[in-house]
Amino acid sequence: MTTSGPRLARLMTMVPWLLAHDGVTIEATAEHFGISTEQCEKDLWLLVVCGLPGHGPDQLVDIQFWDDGRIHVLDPQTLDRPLHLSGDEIMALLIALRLLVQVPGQHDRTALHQLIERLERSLGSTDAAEGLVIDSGVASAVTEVIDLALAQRRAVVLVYAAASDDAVTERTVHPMTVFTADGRLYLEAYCERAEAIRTFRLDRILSAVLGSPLGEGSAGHGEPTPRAVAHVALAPEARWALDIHPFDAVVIGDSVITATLEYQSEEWLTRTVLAMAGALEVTGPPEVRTRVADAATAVLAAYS
Amino acid sequence: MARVDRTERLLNVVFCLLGAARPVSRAQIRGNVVGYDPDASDSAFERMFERDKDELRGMGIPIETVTDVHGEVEGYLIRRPASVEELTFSAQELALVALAAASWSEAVLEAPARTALLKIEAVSGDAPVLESVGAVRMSAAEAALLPLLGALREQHMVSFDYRGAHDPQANRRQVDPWGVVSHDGHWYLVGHDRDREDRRTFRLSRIIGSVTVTARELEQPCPPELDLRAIVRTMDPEHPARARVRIAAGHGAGLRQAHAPTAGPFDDLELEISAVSDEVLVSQICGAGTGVLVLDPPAIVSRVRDALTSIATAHGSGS
Repeated sequence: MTTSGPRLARLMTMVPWLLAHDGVTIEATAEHFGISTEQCEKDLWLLVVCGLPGHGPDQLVDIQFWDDGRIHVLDPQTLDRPLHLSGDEIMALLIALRLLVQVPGQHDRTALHQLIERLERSLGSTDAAEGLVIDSGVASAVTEVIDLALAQRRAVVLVYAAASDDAVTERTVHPMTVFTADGRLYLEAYCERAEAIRTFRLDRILSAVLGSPLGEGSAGHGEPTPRAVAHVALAPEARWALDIHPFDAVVIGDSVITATLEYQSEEWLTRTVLAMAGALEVTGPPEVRTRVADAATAVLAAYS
Repeated sequence: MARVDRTERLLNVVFCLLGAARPVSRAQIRGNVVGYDPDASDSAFERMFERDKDELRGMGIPIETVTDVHGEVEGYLIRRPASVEELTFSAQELALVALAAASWSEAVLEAPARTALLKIEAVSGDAPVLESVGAVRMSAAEAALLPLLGALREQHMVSFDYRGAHDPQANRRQVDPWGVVSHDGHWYLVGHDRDREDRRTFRLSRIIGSVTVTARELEQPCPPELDLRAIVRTMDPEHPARARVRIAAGHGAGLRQAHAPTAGPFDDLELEISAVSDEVLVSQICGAGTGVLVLDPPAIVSRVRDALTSIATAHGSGS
């Protein structure tokens, strides 16, 4: 048995829609309902033979459409308005809206929240409304910052936990667009560090801070933010870190690896050195060494 | 008499019941609705009408069964909405509804999302075409989603064949559904497994075949305040290296995100964290800086203190 569901649902919404669009063409109707004009005519022919029990001439849906290709509903019978939204229909919208509200972009978030609440009330089941959870994994603070960056065309400084190597890196990016694929959210952005367009999973952005405004032109890539450089010494067994952080001028010796390390935020540099748990030493400039020493001492103080 | 198309018969049933002043009896339906064979046997009509009724209800058309004072079925009707208020949306709301409906394109809830929009457009006018930053697209898979959403609304037990990641073969499960959760690109069902008498989480992609929504009420309703999001988030395989840490208000964003996603960022927290190795744990704890203090086990505490001491010394502290 073929399923008549989609066609029936279409036919039932078609009558009230046509009533509200008196004189619309068959072509425009077909396009609106996503069907061919042949199918649209078949639908109309089916509608005009349906009606109330008895099928007397006054008990049929009366639609005129054969004169000039324009459709006029003369008698919609009881189908003059659509039925209530079904549970499936409400939940389909709710799921998408609850995801949408977590997506950075140029939406009016207040309007989104109000619409979601309205549909939840329409659903009429708190069990179902509360039992339906759409977890994008994106921190709302991250959503807000990227929202602003997109709206004001500004850079964002991300702390990003890459999935591949579990490395946390800081990058300045110029957000371009946000998209979803298979229920996950992604940010496409120009990455200053990579000097190329990169894709970031939004749920792996640990923190985001609004950066400087992007210049006009140059495809929105703006001026690079000034960076500072520290000189570092790395233990040979921590050589893996070379692939993770933006080291430069690397000299690999037998007992020590020396390099420079670019950074934008002093906090990031300090945390990175602490997280290397002793395998990375800042050799200069002196004020950075002092900052690291102070940070380590401050944490140690909590243990004594 | 020419055979009547099934869609036409269903539509006739709708016209017959929609907005009826009084419940329409089965006999009236059989006699009046074009499409039911007048020469068919009683049982053939009954079977046909039952199937039609189920299909229409499955489409979300609210066919009410009206019973008399003795509990006998008097007839059926579909109430016409008293007003179109439910479907009346502002232009801005309409645009968002259209965006939501479009996100199901070629995905499992495409049909209901589409009819929802068509119903709303019939009342509120056609939705504008949105050029929007941040469009979303739902994933295509998971045929089990639709019946589970229905079961959640009706609060009825479901049963299905399920093969977990470590199961050698599929088993029949009977579950009181508590929640349906989308997380990390997958859909999950959280509920009470009647045979195991415990809470269980099921990944929809591991359900084999179709989901049966039974008529049975829940034995174990969802406990109030149950955090479905946290249940699904913490389901990941546990890591062998563990430590207990105290995180001060506003600190340890990374550890919070990974291990206590629902706690507020400005709560003081004491929690157990895990990682693939002790080295990674020590690195995470040291890297979190002030505001994260490891409490246990003593071996990790001493490794963290040693690491910090050597950093402080190497960078000239106390010299």
